[in-house]
Amino acid sequence: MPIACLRIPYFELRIALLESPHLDGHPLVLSNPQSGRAIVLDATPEALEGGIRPGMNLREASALCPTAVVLASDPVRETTIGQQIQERLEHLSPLVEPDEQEHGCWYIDLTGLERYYGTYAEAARRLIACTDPILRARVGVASGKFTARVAAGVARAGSIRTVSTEAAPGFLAEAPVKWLPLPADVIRQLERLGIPTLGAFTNLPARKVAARFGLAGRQAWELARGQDNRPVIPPPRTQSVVEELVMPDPAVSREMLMIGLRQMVTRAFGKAELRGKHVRQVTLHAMLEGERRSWERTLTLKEPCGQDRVIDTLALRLQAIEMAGPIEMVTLEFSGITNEVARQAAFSMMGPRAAAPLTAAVHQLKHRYGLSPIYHVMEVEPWSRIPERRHALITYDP
Amino acid sequence: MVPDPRATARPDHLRPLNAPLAITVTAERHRPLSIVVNRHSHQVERIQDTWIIEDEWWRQPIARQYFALLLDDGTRRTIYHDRVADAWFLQDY
Repeated sequence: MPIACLRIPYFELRIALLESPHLDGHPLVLSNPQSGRAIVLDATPEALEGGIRPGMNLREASALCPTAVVLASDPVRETTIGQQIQERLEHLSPLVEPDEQEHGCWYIDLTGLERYYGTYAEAARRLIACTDPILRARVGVASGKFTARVAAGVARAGSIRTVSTEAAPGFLAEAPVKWLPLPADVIRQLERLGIPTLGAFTNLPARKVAARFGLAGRQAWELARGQDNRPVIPPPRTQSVVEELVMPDPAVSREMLMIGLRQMVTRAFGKAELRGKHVRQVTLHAMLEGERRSWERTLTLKEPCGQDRVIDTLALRLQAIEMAGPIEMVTLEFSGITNEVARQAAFSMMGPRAAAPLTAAVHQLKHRYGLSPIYHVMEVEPWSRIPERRHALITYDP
Repeated sequence: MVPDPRATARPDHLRPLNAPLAITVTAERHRPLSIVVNRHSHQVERIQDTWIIEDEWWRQPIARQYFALLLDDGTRRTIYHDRVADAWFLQDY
């Protein structure tokens, strides 16, 4: 089962470079200059050499490396280009899975592609051809997803690194622990403990790793040994309805934006695809006036909602949104489309003001059966390590 | 939310919640290989986690080894081996 991993390091910065290719090679910093506290979100190796680190204040970063160019993130463009790459990859292989943890990283199952392209290396070359050269994509090919990702991590821009099944243990043993799918603080902890490589990590006894780092640590230990049978699982295909609106005048206030959104939601629910349906998720993309800037928010609804409740939810959530500038164009994407669903109301008798009917019902049941058959859950020893001692059912006897 | 009835709690009005359920387990060196739940036998696909609880050694000792299991039908179950009674139980943790 040969698996390829296509990686575009510094994905957000590389996307920004598509607009300004002359900046390639300069120290680049990704930031959020519109927000109150501008910090470094990402930095290219050239900027890292200048002493800049992610999380650093932007002013401090500028002082350390005056030649650094600050670029703003463009989430709408990143999503669009990410989807375009995914679609191009799907033309080559039906099994393409985007990495959930890292933007700009995809796993591709190459099984059978050697029959079309002669070799796996040729198939991998075609994967790189799916991306713009300025994105500096690289590919790792191995028998498992983890090894393929590490191989892509050490491959040079535009090149392919193939790791055979026999060579995988030796290759992984030399790789640094930063490739483990563990939180950054755990990686730092490992490095401080004098465990710089995956080889040193796998030399630790499995039970000690599990005791110290839990289930995630144990799974990472198995991956570091090359024990990785995870298949490539393509994301589920979801039907969505997209509605777009170019504002007659750039919207500078929430009220103006809300008028536009209300119109879009009404129009979308009038379409055949959404008529009589409910949606679970709404994604709002906004293009800002002037230079290429954008923002997007995904609103996941607690339960499937119809037109009126979607408008109410948008109005409520927009109160907390900080508008980074006048909005020229808005796109609403409705996904998680379901049939109209009934809402489960709370059991009215359980409300604090409605105890009387419940009390009367319990009295009647007691009269009929001799005891109250209604119980409520009570904490007994919630701290106990013995599960059956934490809670108990106690007769509800008002 | 049910209002507090303010009635005195009596032990005979208490019912245990999440009580362990005795089950049949085929094990090798105290590692479960298959379990029988509701008269259906399931193979253990994978032991996802295991932990030990030892407590109350000063009165009635409790010594359990819990196993979080992934079964062949895709369901997850938590069982434990009572090391004192040498018996197996099903219990959510």
